[in-house]
Amino acid sequence: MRQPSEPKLYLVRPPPREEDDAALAVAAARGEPWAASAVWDRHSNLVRGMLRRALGATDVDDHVQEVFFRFFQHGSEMREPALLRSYLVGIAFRVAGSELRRRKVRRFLGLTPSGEVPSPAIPPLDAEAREAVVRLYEILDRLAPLSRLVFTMRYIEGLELTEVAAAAGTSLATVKRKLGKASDVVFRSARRDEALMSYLSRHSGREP
Amino acid sequence: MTPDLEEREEALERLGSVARKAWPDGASPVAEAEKARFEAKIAFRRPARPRRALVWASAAAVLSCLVAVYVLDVRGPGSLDYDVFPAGGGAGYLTATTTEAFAHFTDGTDVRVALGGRARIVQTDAHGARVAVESGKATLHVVHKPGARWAVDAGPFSIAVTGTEFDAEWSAADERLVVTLRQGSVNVRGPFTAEPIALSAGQRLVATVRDAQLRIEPIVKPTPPHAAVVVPEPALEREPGATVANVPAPAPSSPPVSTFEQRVRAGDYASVIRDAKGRGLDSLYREGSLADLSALADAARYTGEGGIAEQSLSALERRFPASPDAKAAAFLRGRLAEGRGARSEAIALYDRYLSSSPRGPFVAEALGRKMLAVKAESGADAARPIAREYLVRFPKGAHAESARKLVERD
Repeated sequence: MRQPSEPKLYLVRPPPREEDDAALAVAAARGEPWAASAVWDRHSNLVRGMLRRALGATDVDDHVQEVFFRFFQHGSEMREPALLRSYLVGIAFRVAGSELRRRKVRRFLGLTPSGEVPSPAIPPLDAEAREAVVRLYEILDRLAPLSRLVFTMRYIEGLELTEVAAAAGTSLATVKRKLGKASDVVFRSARRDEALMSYLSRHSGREP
Repeated sequence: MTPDLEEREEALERLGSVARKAWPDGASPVAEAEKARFEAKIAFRRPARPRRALVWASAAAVLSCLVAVYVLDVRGPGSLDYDVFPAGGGAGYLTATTTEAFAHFTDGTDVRVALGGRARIVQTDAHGARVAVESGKATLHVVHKPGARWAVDAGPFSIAVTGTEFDAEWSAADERLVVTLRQGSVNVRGPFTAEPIALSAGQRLVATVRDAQLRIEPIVKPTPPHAAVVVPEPALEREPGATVANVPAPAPSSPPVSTFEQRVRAGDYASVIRDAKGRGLDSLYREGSLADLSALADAARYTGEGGIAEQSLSALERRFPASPDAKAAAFLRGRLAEGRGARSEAIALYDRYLSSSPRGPFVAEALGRKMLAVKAESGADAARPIAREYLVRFPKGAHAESARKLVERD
């Protein structure tokens, strides 16, 4: 008599609800699609915010896609899965750097009608705040891409110098040197701008 | 830390807070669509496996190509490439027999063909591709890039695209085309009219060749943010021989319609201008809220709609004179007036700003611009007193050098 075939059992691992970053990174490196989506859910707002602030632009969706796609393709190269957030910050740093270099070349070659990249699209804060943001990014536009990113990571994102060095993939000494020069340029330029300094002083309660 | 360094550090920290306030962490206004786009991208791609030996062996070749690639990236890439899933249907064929078919292009553009449909990638070049929908529904997410040129053929129709998201559905049996446009704009050419038919986001075009009928309608009934002033438009039928016309595009239904302010924050200036025109600009100037007028003025300034920007700012000044936005409006109007060459008007507006906001944030800029405008309009002698005042008040200001030159010529 023919025995009924044994039912086949498959162990299907459900997507966990609250994996930590290390587990997420390991699962994403194995190519599990749920993990890539979970990484997106957890970190895309942070990456989007960083890119907006680094580039001074509202529309950064394509760059966000690029960051997560690079992560998905190369996540298996991560040495410390627990440092997922730092790894994404590093990718965002490089993506922003590429965009800034592209802008610089376009400006150099006069590929925009005015030879300038478009002014940043500033969110509607109030008129004064908008003007302050425009002026700040006009100053940042004068910096070299690496210096600008080091500056934004330190003073806008609030990263520690060691974190900035890790994101930039460079030495702490280089970061300190770049940051020192960039800070001087930004500070000197900002001091010459009454509207910017006036805004800062009125919104901090102190005269700069 | 020395007092100088402390002062510098404090100022830089405050500058950082300006940027953080402008762009806080947050979701994209099209967050779900962006996530779906990412998931679609990775659905048919496996993570890259590092092969160190291969990497080193290729390094020299890659290095030698970098300069060329960089130049090409600026001047225009080579022809686009693409991956097709499921593969095996023949070169460039998207055949959705048992599952959805999908093509992902190197510029990020995606083409999906719904189950039962068939499409073909006819041609690619550096700026886009031509896709023929032979039957069924194709959904395109075309990444907007400078110079992008995409075209979709469906039966006797051709849809020209630059950057947008839409469905194109063609039924050969019914000789029927349906184009559903969610983002951007497209031009549809077909047998009914020599001129292309422009579709805007939120519109659907239904064309039936057999009956020679063409209809453009909103995708859904609009859910206007200001229901009191928006009247839903009826669909428009085109009988054979009649003129084709569009109904105004409603705000997209997904994500839910946002305020002008939210849309300006998201960089969606075009929809603010479009909706404002749909609602009636005059009624907005008369009855719009402070926030709406302020957002409209910004959207208009960013899109070069100087007339709308000036009218919005005038309305702000007239209707909300005590608000900070109204006070700044005089200065911004002055800049707009300068932009169209009306120097006398600009000077008057700068004067108004300077007298109404003697300690306002734009005082230095207004005084400096007034000095330059007066010099251009009435000569150096007339501008010199303003230059002296500028140097007294703002000796290190952005216009100090120009002011100094004027004074030194005296």
